[in-house]
Amino acid sequence: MKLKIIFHHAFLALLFIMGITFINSPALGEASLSITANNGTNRVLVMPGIPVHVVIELKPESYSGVNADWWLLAETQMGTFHYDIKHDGNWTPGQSVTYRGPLGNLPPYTVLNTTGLPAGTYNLSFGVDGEMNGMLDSNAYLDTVEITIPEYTCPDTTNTLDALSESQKAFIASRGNPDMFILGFISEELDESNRATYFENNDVRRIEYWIYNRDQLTIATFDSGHFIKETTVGDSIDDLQATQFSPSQLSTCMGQADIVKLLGEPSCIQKETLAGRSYDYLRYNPSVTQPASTVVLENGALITVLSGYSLDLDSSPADGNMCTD
Amino acid sequence: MSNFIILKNQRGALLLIFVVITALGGTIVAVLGPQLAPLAERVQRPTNQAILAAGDTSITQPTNEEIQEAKDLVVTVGQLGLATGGIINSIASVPSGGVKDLIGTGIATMTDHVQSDMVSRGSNPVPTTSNPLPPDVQAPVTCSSSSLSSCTSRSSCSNAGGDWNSNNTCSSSLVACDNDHLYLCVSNTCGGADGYWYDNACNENYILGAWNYTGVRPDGVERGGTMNFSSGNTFSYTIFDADGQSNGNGSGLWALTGETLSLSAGLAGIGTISGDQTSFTYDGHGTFRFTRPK
Repeated sequence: MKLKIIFHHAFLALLFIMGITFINSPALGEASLSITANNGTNRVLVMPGIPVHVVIELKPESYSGVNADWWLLAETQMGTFHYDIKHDGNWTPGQSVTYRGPLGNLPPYTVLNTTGLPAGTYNLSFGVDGEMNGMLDSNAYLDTVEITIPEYTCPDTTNTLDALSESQKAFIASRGNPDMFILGFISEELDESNRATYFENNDVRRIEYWIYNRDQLTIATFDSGHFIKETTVGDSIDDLQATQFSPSQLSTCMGQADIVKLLGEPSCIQKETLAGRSYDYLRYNPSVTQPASTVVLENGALITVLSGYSLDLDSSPADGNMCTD
Repeated sequence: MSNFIILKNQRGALLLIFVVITALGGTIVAVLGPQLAPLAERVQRPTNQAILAAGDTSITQPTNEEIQEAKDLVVTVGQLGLATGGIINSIASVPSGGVKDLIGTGIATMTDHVQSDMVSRGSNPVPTTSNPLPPDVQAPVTCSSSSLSSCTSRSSCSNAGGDWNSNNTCSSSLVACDNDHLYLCVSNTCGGADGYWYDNACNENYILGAWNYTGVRPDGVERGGTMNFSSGNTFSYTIFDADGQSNGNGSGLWALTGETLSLSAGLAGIGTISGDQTSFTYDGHGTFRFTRPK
């Protein structure tokens, strides 16, 4: 979260609180501090089995050298913990100051990197306050990331159809794997107050579109495994290269390492940060041996897969490179 | 050599579906705005600290900046999709219309579904059942008395009125006498199954019933007697030693696992047996030959 100095009077009030006196109005700089989990800010959903990687960063800019209390705290269902630099950076029970000293540039620094945390909500806060007294003062600047690890039983996606519903198994038994599919995992919705919230019980909604290129081109829609409808969009397409992957191989518990293990190294990874979330687009260019695929990770977790959208044509040119833009 | 190209749709929006899905989550967050956790909320903030106030969770209305961020989000993600679409559009060899339009229509259909329904639990609750499947898709078979082969566990098989077989399959209890259903065999030949007739029933092992035995104790003294193995894993015995050491009778428990016979009394011990229902040798605490009484 960037701490933009927007209002001059607020800035002066801040300086007063921090005990700094300026005779002349200093140049208004921009200071920032942040805490991220899996490169995401604010709210981050981490599925079981996916590593939690928490990083802090501080750029004090014009406040550099100002004495301050540094805070790095975690609120959990097991109580409050603080990052204790006196003990090799362990997270220690209780709310205590992490460091007392002048502000300075802190490049991205990992304060937690673990897998297998119990399900629950973890609020990790990083911040500073200008009164170096070991107390969390009212003028503290805090950035917080809320990490939610849901109770979720990850399906077995190795040589089984466990990730699929009975209806989907029936499709595969009758028709085989789809020639092309789009799979998305959605974990949030807007509630009655138009506020974002996770699904009840932290469920994950699995939206799938299975495209079969048979006598006709059809699209079957599934919502959380339930068959919704099938739409015929036209005649079959010659030379549509069927994906060799199956939706049964994918679950929301997969991270980039799992995807690479399944699909191999991507042709490229395009990165984007949107609304405080990091998105990785793993592009798999089409080749003789496999059709195109795109895998989208949000804060390191699989949210979307699109596989099997390339044609096998004898004509040229054949620029199937998705990594140029 | 074949060349591979990406399908094109009308506006290069082939990937719009995941764009939308991606955008949904992102948009939601963007509209929500930054949140401070309860820990931060406990900090009493000066009212004139606009910076902190902007992050106050009590503020429910998104700021113009956040709204713009949400709009930018959609645009940006859309551009990512178009990046792929740009590749598609660059393929001159793909004829316009036809294939491209088909895919485009399909993607548009999917996009509509997601765009219109997925952002509000009120307008689009999670379904609880499937609609009827297409005619060519055979309905999923569930475990029931009429489809025992679909049962995948002992409990579901039993609940459906079936028998759980040793090869982890479920079948009707009306099956004929076979190795898995010895109790259904009614002839003293066990109906060809690998069983042993005793007490008017076909049994899995051959030791049931009455036996005479002779042999020697570990110390070389001759020992003989009778044994009667019952189906409840109990047995009765008599012992006659040449030196009279353990003469007497009693009862105990037996267990047979494979060729390992365990006896709790009499010839107490654990040993191996070999033979059949007419005679067998027990090599345990001593060696003894068992034969059926005349």
